[in-house]
Amino acid sequence: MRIDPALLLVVLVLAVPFIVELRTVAAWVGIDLSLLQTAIIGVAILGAIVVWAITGDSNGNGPESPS
Amino acid sequence: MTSYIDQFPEEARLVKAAMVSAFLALAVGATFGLLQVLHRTGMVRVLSSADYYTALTAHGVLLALTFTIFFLVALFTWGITTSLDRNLPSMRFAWGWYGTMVVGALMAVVAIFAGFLTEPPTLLGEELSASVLFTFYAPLQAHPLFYLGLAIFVIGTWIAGYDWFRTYWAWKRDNPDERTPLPAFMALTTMLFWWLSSAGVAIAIVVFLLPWSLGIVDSVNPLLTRTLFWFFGHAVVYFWLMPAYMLWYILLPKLSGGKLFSDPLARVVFVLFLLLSTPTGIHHQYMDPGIAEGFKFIVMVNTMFLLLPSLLTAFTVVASMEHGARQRGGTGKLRWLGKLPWRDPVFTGMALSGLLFAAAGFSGMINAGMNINYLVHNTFWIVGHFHLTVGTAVALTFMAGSYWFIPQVTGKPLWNRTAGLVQVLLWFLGMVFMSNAMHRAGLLGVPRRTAEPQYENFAFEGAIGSVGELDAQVVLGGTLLAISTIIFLVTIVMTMLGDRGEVPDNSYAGTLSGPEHSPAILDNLKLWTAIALVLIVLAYSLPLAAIVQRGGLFGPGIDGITRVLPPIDTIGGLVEWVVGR
Ligand code: HEM
Ligand SMILES: [Cu+2]
Repeated sequence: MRIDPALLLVVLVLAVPFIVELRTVAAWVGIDLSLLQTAIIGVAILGAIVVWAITGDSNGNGPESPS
Repeated sequence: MTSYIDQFPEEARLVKAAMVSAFLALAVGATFGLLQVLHRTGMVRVLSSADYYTALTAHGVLLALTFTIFFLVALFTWGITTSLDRNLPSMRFAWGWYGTMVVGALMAVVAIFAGFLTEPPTLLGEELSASVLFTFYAPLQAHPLFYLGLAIFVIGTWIAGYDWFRTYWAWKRDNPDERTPLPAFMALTTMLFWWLSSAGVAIAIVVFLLPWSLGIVDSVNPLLTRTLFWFFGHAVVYFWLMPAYMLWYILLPKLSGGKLFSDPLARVVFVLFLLLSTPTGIHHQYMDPGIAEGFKFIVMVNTMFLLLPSLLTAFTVVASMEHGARQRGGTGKLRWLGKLPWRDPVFTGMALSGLLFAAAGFSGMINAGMNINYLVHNTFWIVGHFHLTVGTAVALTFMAGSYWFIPQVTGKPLWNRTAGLVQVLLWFLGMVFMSNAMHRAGLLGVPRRTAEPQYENFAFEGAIGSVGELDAQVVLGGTLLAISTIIFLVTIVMTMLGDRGEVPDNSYAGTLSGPEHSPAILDNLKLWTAIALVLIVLAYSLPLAAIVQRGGLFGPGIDGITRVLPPIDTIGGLVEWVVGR
């Protein structure tokens, strides 16, 4: 685990507003995403975050010491 | 070290009762929230559209007034007693103000709920009902019981404030040379602007709306009662927010493992709120005809100044969190964030509330700008905005705080930390979905406060995505919020049913820069109250005078006063008779 599981959950929910607004940003640059396309990209982003978090190690800023 | 219930067993019972009252209001109010979402989007219609305003009144009154204010009195009672290390002078008196609030709230709630009946009972010769929304604008009229209930509820809070002040005065007599501890300072300054501002709504209710609903006067001046409502209406949003700020200042740094960055800055922030909370209310009336543009402009300037204390808060709180994370060994420019106690729902809930509050600050600046306000006024945008402020910054902070307070006042450890963590994350997620879609729908012109936001022969055009997709997003968000509320209530109930055990000590964060660094003048409450009064007079005297001059005290002409004059004549006659003898 690169980060604490609780922090991973937090990072995932924090990514959601960006995914939701991704569609607006894409529209500005002329790309019209459908709802389904947005959802698939969103899931891919969240998946990538999960993969990033569970591979590699923490370099000292990782899981909080059990308290 | 000990928990609150060990130090103040009597007060702990009162704090617990007030918190439970708040949670009951939350449970019922949130149910209506879900019903509204499903109804407006046409997904599931449990109520008839004719009853929609009744539901929305219940939602607004129960959540925005009852839930928030019961939690506030609980928190401030805790803050005063803990920080002054002193009991309330009389528990009987304290239960008295709590009881007053309960009676007032119940009266208002009974009047509202009677509105759902096909044949509401009559009382005082009038059918019980109060489908007037929590702003109760005339000419919408409620049963007198509703107005009376609200007035009694507010009076209960006034007495509570007096109780905290006299506790403070007694402490001051014993400790004449000490600085007021920060939590007490926060509670007292908040109470001062609450007295100033709620006087406006009290006048609106007692002098105008109540006599009007009782039939003593025939009419009211709707612009006057509206202006008096908003005299209180902006300050009330800070009345909700100050307890949340208090928790961010005194609990978050401690949970992060550090200290509050600056006590003086915290005091400055609360003084600024005392000064500016009230003379800003007219910013809710930018669209009202009958108030000159110039007055609105002054109020806009005041409002923009109010951003300052919130920016100061963001700075101080984040600096304190960083300090805490570094105490725990966090390093790097951003990597220290990983060292914060994310597993703790109390911390994570409050941190996420703060984050959404920042987002709300941006939509709030748009609301506050006189010209762009015209674009969003009365649209779903506004509903999106205040579900980020009161619906998240306040409500989620209170829920997260409850995971700390309920163990304090019961001596029972939190039932399940993971459930709490999932709950706060779900609230954040639900609110992101719901409020984002509300904001965007508002920009398309979708109105708020209506059961049927689709008009005949007219379709709202979605700029990005369709209105149907926005509706679906609102429903998704609302459903997650409802699930989150259920998890919250279950966690609280299970905690209260549990056995006593190990709970955290009753203490709050120390400071890096303490009160010794804040100029003594900051504690001069008389001075700040006087300046606040002057600002209120400057902002309100001319607009109020103009409103009364144009529309009369009781409506155009003096029609409304005809029933008041005869009793006055009788008194006059009596006086003449006495003087003549
Ligand atoms: C369970 C989560 C919630 C849901 C699903 C929800 C949903 C809604 C919806 C859809 C409306 C707008 C209805 C309309 O304008 O037609 C609304 C209004 C409102 N909500 Fe919520 N809400 C929730 C929680 C809260 C909370 C926690 C608070 C405050 C502490 C709150 C305060 C308000 C207020 C003050 C209004 C305005 C009422 C009015 O226009 O008179 N809501 N809510
Ligand atoms: Cu306001």
